[in-house]
Amino acid sequence: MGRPLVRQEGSMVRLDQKMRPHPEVVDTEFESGEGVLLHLESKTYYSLNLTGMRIWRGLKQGLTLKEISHNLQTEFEVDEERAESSVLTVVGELSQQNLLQTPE
Amino acid sequence: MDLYTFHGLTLEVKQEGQETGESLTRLLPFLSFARSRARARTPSICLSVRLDGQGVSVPPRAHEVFESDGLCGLEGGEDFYLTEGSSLFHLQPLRGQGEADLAPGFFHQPPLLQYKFWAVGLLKLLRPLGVYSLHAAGVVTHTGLGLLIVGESGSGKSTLALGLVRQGWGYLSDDTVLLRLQPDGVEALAFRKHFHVAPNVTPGADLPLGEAMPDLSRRRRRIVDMEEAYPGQYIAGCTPRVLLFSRIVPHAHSTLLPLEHPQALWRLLSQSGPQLFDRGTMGQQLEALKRLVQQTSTYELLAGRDLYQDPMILMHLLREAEGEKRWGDHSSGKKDPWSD
Repeated sequence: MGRPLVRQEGSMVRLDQKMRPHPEVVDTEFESGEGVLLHLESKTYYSLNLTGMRIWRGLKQGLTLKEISHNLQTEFEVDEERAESSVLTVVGELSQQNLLQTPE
Repeated sequence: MDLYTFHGLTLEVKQEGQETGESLTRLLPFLSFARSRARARTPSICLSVRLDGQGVSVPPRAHEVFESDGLCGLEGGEDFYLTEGSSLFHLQPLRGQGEADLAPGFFHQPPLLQYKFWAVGLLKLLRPLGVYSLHAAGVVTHTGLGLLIVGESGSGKSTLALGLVRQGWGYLSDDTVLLRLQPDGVEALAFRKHFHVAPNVTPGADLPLGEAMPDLSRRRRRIVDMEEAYPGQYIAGCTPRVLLFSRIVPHAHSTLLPLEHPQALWRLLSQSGPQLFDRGTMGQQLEALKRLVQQTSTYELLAGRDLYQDPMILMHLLREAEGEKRWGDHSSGKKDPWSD
């Protein structure tokens, strides 16, 4: 079953962690920047909004959460606190859904 | 050995004993496979079928990935296994090979279970060839625009598709179409030719109807031989331009609601045979689904009573949504059957 990935307050991840996408997850992205993730083991799929997809792309590129936050600040002209909060909540939710591997 | 062609692909069937493979070879023409005399140097898919009363045995490493309506699918590495309890279909999709060991009792299984055994196996073997199934009815307007009506069983696909075919539209299928990504877009290909319609909504006595029997969802259905009922309206493939995600609602009037692309893709995934998803082909399938969404107008269709009384209401809804230019096209020179 699929469902939208909803941001939730509070997460167990930290900015000094580096996370990687789970190898059993495939994704696709639209021109609008929104995208869909599919976990092949659980056969579940998730939709990501523009910000979520930017964060996912950063994780695929092997960036640290801090670097991803910095990219968000530059691209969307948001302050550091807001960007970091976005990264932490999205990454926390992705982890909860087993879409990311154990932090290094 | 029998040879078949299928949308530019070739299928070779080897059977031990004349009757052994009959369950399969009887079915293939209804799944758009055509007998061929030409020898393929390397067939796209090879199937071998034999009688085997030894019981079902799968490697211990294989794990169950689905169980539905009497059919079980197991995955072990790159191999896939289908069984209805007594017979086994061992599939090696990357090699394009399938071996079916049929127990004598297989031929006494319900016809729809036998159908599912073969059809699911074939759909799994088609995946590495870039051909993916979608739970949808496929129809084509007089002017050549392809529409896919996507939805679960009971969402009204067959009834609406049949209603449109009765108005002269072409058809690919009422339940399953195949998608193939080509350089210029995604094409939809016909799979099951017969329609399975609910007995109570079958309009008129002009159709060559089969006996009403329960389908795998335990809904009673009548099989309609479409080639006999509507000769010349079968279409092997089309380029879809509209996706309708259908849902029956208890309202007098039908409604079309536009869907954003990610929403449409998300809904497509649930109707794309998730039980057959695999690592090797999923990236390509996801790309094909995304391209399909990009080349189509995508809507949720809330199907009210008016649509089943007059299926051409759909044309009015599409005209309202997209304007006359596309849906009021008289360029074919034919009388526009949808004008008021």
